[in-house]
Amino acid sequence: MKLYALNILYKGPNNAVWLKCSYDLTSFNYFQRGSVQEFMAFVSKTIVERTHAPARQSVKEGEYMCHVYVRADSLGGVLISDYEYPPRVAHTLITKVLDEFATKIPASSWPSGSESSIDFPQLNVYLAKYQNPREADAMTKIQDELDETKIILHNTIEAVLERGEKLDDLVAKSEGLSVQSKAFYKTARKTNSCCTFG
Amino acid sequence: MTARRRRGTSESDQTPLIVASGVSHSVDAWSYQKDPNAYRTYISNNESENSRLFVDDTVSKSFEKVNVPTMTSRDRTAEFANAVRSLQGQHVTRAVAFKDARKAKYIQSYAEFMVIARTIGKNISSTYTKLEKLTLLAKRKSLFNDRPSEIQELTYIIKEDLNSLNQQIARLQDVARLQRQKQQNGHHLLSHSSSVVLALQSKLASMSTEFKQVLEVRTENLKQQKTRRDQFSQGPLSSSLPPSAISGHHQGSVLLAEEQVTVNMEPNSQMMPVVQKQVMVADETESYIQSRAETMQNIESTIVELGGIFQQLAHMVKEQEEMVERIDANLSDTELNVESAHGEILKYFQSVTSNRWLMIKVFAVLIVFFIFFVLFLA
Repeated sequence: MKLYALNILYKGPNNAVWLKCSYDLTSFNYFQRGSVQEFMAFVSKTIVERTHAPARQSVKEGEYMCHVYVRADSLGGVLISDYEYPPRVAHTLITKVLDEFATKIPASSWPSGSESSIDFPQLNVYLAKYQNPREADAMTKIQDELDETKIILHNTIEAVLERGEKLDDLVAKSEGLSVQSKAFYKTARKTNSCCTFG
Repeated sequence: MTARRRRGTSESDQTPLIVASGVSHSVDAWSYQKDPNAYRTYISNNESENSRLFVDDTVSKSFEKVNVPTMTSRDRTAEFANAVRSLQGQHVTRAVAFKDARKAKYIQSYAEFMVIARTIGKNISSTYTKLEKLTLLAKRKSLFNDRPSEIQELTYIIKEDLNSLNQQIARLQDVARLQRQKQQNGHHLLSHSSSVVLALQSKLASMSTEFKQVLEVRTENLKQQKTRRDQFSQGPLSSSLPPSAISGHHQGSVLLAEEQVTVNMEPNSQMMPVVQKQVMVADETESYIQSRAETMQNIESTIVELGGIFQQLAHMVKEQEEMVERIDANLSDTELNVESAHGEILKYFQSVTSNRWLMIKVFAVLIVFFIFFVLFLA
């Protein structure tokens, strides 16, 4: 479950412009990295151009999945991941990143922006954080924790059942003990009361 | 006299048939009972085949077991009388057979009661079949095959039936009470009638509870269908969604897409994939939203489940607390017993130790006596 790239583009009337990109190519061969990066950049550009605003899309691209979301104001985000990554989390991430980008960087600089002119370092941070969707996405995290809690509770209930059985045992034993001690008392009283010498 | 009257009223449908056979006898209902012979002569008087056949047909219609005679007229009086008696039910003959007028009255009133109870029972069974049909209909969960008009009709009919059954049972109860007041019926008859009324009432009550359950199931299903329909048709969850998703239907977004495509005047090769992509995009947005909704629902249901598990856990611990208290009580009893037994043994020990002095004293006296004896003898 890996994320490879997270790009923000601006979809102009004729073509798309890269605004900010971040890549995580550690899983690739050192020599392949350059070409893979270029390939991903162009794929994201093409896809954003092909996507009409506003829309979400998840496209199968070779052995990767491209999740793209173009907003109504022509700001688009592309996330390239593998097949296992849950698309819901991907789109949540893209939406979040785009919202933050929109608030931080004024819309006027979008059509003319380029990689160097725009400063948005959080992109790399997000890409790194969301490598593990379980931790990053709130809903997934909650669900996982709940499942864990459920398992723990099941174990607890089994333990309580065992405890019940043991308590049953103890009850029986204590009853036996009580009966025998009563008999003991009676015997003792009998020996005391009846014969004076014996 | 009442028996005779009843016989007459049941035979009223017979008289027009005979009258319409063309013979201008002014046939009177009473004449049958008073004079069976008149009937026989009446039949033998009919020479014409048509009337004979007609009479025979009417006779055969009323008595199904009888063969249709073809040639001469037959004397069917005895069979006629038997059929009349069987239609009235055996209680009348029994009433007539009994010399005791009081018993006859009991049995007749009891018979009325039983007739009403029988009709009520038949109505209950028919209403029950209707209720089963309604249950089957209400259990269907498909979105499109639902037949609300039928279900409503059936519901209405069943409600009416339940009301009328209620009234009938109330009337039956009144009849029973009247009988009890008017004549002192036998103790067994009274108890039997009350138990019959009780059984009918309980059947009616169980049917009405089932009816209520079916209605509840139906409302639940309606709610579920509504939510499913809403999920399929629209689903705006967050304000940042594109307006096409908010507008709702697939149709809307596809039309929008086509408009955009024609206005943009893109090359033809791109139109088809763009349109397709648009359709897919509409699906994507909705599927994304749907998956989010599903996840939320899962989370909610998990939380609810967890709540239930916690409650069960607490309940079980509470139950076990009882057992712990029992163990405690047993152990304290044991301690008490052991303490008292210990005390007893201590007392015994004391007595034994003190006893020794007594023993020595007794022995001393014995030895004195022995010495005395020996001295005396020797």
